[in-house]
Parts: sequence; structure tokens; C-alpha cells
Amino acid sequence: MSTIQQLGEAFERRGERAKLALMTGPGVSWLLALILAPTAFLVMVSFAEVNSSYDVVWSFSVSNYRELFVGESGLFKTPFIDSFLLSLGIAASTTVATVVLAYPVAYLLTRLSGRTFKLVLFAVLVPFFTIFIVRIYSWLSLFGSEGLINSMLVATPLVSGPVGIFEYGLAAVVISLTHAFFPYMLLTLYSSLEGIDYGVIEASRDLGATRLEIAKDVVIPLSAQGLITGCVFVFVPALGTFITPQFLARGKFTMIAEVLTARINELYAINYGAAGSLFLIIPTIIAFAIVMRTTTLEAMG
Amino acid sequence: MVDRRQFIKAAGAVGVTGMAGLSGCMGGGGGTTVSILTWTGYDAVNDQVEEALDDVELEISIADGSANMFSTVNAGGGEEYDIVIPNNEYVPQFIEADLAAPVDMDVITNFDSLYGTFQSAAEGQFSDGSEIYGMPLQFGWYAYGYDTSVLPEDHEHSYEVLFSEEYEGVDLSGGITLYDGYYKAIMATGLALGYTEAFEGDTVSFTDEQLTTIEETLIDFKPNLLGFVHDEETLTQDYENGNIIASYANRSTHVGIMNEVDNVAFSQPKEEELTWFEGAVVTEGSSNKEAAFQVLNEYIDSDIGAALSEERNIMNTSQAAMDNIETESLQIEPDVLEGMIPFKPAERDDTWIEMFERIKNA
Repeated sequence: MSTIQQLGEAFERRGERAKLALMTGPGVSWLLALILAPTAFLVMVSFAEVNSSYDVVWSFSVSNYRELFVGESGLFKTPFIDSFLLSLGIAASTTVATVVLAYPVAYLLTRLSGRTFKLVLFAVLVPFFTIFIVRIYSWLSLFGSEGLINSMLVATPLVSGPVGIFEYGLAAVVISLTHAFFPYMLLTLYSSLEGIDYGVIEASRDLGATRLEIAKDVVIPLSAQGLITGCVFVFVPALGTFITPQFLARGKFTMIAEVLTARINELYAINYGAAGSLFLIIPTIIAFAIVMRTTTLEAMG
Repeated sequence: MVDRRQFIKAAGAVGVTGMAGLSGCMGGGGGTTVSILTWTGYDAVNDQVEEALDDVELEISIADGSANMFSTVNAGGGEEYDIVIPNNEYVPQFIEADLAAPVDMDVITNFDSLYGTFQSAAEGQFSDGSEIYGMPLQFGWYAYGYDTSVLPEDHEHSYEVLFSEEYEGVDLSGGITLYDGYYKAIMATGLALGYTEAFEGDTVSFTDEQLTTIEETLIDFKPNLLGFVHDEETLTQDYENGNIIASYANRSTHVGIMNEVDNVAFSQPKEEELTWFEGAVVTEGSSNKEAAFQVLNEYIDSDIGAALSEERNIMNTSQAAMDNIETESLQIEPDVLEGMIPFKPAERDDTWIEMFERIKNA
């Protein structure tokens, strides 16, 4: 190969690299500027201290992390841990509830077509298009001892007084979050179920499988990737939710985002907030690691 | 048909007009722009203040709380903002950090019209012993509002209402809300328990035993609470739905509720009330100090102060301004100022907030 040809190929390769850099450059810069840099800052602040004048003192200290985990009564006996465990419980309950409710609807959607399909999908998704705060105010009117649900129940001979589950509190928060995140689960499950070859279901039916066995041994395993992805899409935002408990818990318990917000707003403890936020990232990373190991981008829909 | 030359001419004219307009917005007219970091509602009287002061233009920015105001100014916003209006308990921090300029009392000609309580507060909490650094502008206090259709207006007004399952024969269980914030909830419980000596110094300082009793009281009483709530919209909706019998929050919040819902009144407890007032500080870094003090003087003017109060549903520290207010819900009993305890910083913020988190999760 002549030197001129070699030079030509080298320029071509360089041109390819330049093109690649030009294409990926904006995306990479975006990631660096808006994700990596703030996260790095968060890490730095989580090891810093804030003095009485609210200045950040750049020193390396693990006291913020210690404060998260070590309380007056001992290790892991802190309000942060209490709220964290409660938030995990609420997020898990919400995820289970959305799975239970969305699976049959998603399956139904795969069996429908044309106008009926569009109608059902529209009916399911229409609340999703309203502003979140408006939906919260709707729940506010529905719950409570004098709320719409309890008022209607009390008017019937079925109950003699307000029903506890429809009071403000844990149940109200889980129900509201389930309603809020239902479309995430539905759409991911639908995209996964839609890809199933229904010939397989028919074959298993021909071979004598019951409905339960078909669901357990065929449908669920074949839609597992969508299920896992849907769970992550619901669990992660439910874990860090802030507005819903603000309105519907009535301050009777605090989810983790509320603890961090109160510390930052009332004490300007951004160092504590940063340490808490980083700890909150751990379950999110675990959830995404599970997804990445078990599913593909295509299966995520 | 427009030719190229005509188009360029027209575009040039539009450009010049636009630039002239912009320069007007940017203060290019030679006036002084006074920049204010404050709460919502102050912009309602911008026109009146600008009319009263020649060549002064106001630029209002809203901050998310007093701590946020302090951190903004402390982080270098002292030159960006001429006036900052935090709550009174934050003014000493501004003084301590050399962020507040001494008040030019020659400019504050309306100072004498302030209620004696607030003149004393300026000379006490807002002073370093020789000079005054802050000006009380608007005030309110914390007590409880109540549904008069359930709890009669002639009941004995006391914080005991907030911690009773039954009061004067009225069943209160499940119908009480306390303020959703560690500082106010703990102080209210302390007052209800009679720990008034804790409020005597420069800071609010409960002993360990008192804090334990406060925590136990709140945890024990929590099942009887509707919850910890303080935002006006939620409280209004709860009063409308009949969920609330009594709610502990700011007076201005209750004035807003009273404007929307019938049968809601605000109490005047026999114990003392916790009072907050907005303390305006002219920043040390301001290059428009004189204009800034003139603006503060207008906020306690009898007309502008009254208008500001009516817009914000908050009382004015100027008696002359209060005399001009017609809104019924803003009228106050003259003796209400006598039993007031001004907000002071909590001595052990960290302990208080952690305690409040424990109470909420109990």
C-alpha cells in the first residue's frame, strides 16, 4: 500500500472519529454537565459541614452519614432509618398494588383491537393527563372521616361510622400512589404481553393446562422482563415521593423525601440532605442493576 | 409592496423602539432600582411606593423562607439585594454576620407610629446595643382557629383545646391539627404545658426534661390529631369538609380561611401568643441605602402600610396603618400585643427537629 493510500485511510478514520465525536459530543456533554457534575457536587457536600452562618465548610467529615444511622438510642435507631424503612414499605406496597391491578388490564388490552382498544386505553390513561396536584386535591376530597367515600358509606346501612382505611394516612397514600403510577406499570406490561406469541398459550391449553397454570407457567414468565421494568418504574419514584404524603398523610408519618426537605428548608442542612439523598440512590441502583441483568432495552418498551 | 430599503428602515425603527423600551425596564431612565428579597404579596403596593418616592423603582424577588434569605445574602447576594425581609428571629444573624446596615433613623420618619411593642423590639432584638439594624414591618401570631359551629365562641380560649379529647363538653377527637413544623409545634406544646420561662432569654431553651415531656405529650396525643397541617389551602378544604374543629397555625392563614369559610374564628388564648414579625434589613453591601430606607418607611406609612396589610392579610406594625384598615378580620384587640412572645431562635435546633421527626413517625 502506498504512503498516499495510507494517509488517505488515516484521514478517513480520523473523519469517522470526528463524526462520531460530533454526534455523541452533545449527549456526553449533557450527561457530564447535568448528571455527573451535580452528583459529584452532592458527594462532596455530603462529606462537608455547614456552619452557623450557613456557609459550607469544605472538610472531610463522615458526621453526616453517622447522623443518618446513629441516633440517641443506638445504631439504626434514627428518624431517617424509620422514614427510610417506611418509604420502602410504601413503595413496595404501591408496586405490588399496581402489578395486581395492571396485569389483567394489560392482558385485556392485548386481546382487544380497534375502537374498543382505544376506548379502554383512553379511559385508563385519561387521569394521567391531568395535573398531578389536581389529582391530589381530588384524593383529598375523597378521603377523611368527612370525605366523599366515608360520607357515602355512612349514608348506607353497611357501616355505622367512618371507615379507617378511608381516613387520611398510610392507606390513602398507597391508594393515591397506586393511582398515580398505574399507567407506568400498565404500559410496560402491555408492551411486554403484546410480544407474546399467543399460539403458545393455545398450545398449552390444548395440552390440558388450567388458566392458573397458563398464567403461572406461560404468561408471567414470558412477560417477566416487562414486569421487572414496570416494578422499577413504579418503585423508584414511589420511594422518593414527596407531594402525596404531604397532603394525604397529614404529617402523621414522614416519608424519606419529607425528612430531607424539612432538614434543608428549616435548618439549611444541605450536607445532611446530600448524605441522605446519596443513601437513597442505593435502592435505585440495585433496582436498575436487576433490570439490566434481566431485561433488554427492547423489552422495556 | 415593501422594498428592501423600506423594510430595513422599518426594522431599524422597531429595533430602536424596542431598545428604548428595554432600557426603560433596565432602569436606564436614571432612577434608582431598589431590589428586595422578601415574601409574597409585597409587589401589590409597588405602584404606590414608586408613586410616593420619586425616581425609585422596586424589583421584588421571592425567597423560600428566612433561612434561604440569609444564605442567599451571605453567599454574596448583599450587593444584589438592597433590602431583605426575613422573620424577626433571623435579623440577629444578619447583624452578627455584618450583613445588615445600621438604620438611618432620619429617613424612617414613621418609626414613631409603630406600636410600642415593635419599637421596643427594634431597639432590643434588632439592635447591637448602640444602633438599630432592622425595621419591623408586618406581624402576626400563632394561636388556634376553630369551627364556631362545633366549639362555641364563648369557650375559654386556651391552648388546652389543642391537647384535649373533650373540651367544655365538645368532643374534639380527630378534629385537631397542629402546625407542620418542628419549631412552631414544639413551642406551642411548650406553652400549653406552661413552660413560659423557656422563652425568656435570647433563645428558646427548654430543659431536657421539658423536651421529653413535650415529646411524650405530642406522641400520646397524636392519635387524636387529624394531623400536622399548616398550609391555607388544605386547612380551608378541611374546614369546608367539616374535618377540623381546631387548628393551630398563623393568624394570617386563618384570616385567609375566614375569608373563604363561614363559622371559623381565631382564638386569643389566655396563655401568651407566639408572635412573629417581618424584620426588614438594608444590606451592608447595598449601594442604594438611602432609597432602601425610604422604601421601608413607606411600608409602615399609614396608607401604604394599610394597603399592604389588606393585600397580604397580615397586620402592620404601624398603629397608624392599622387604624386605616377596614377589613374586619384584620382588626385586633388593643391588649393582644401585651401578652406576646416574639419568636426567638431555638437553642437546640438539631435536637428539636429530630424530636419532631420521632413524634411524626411514632
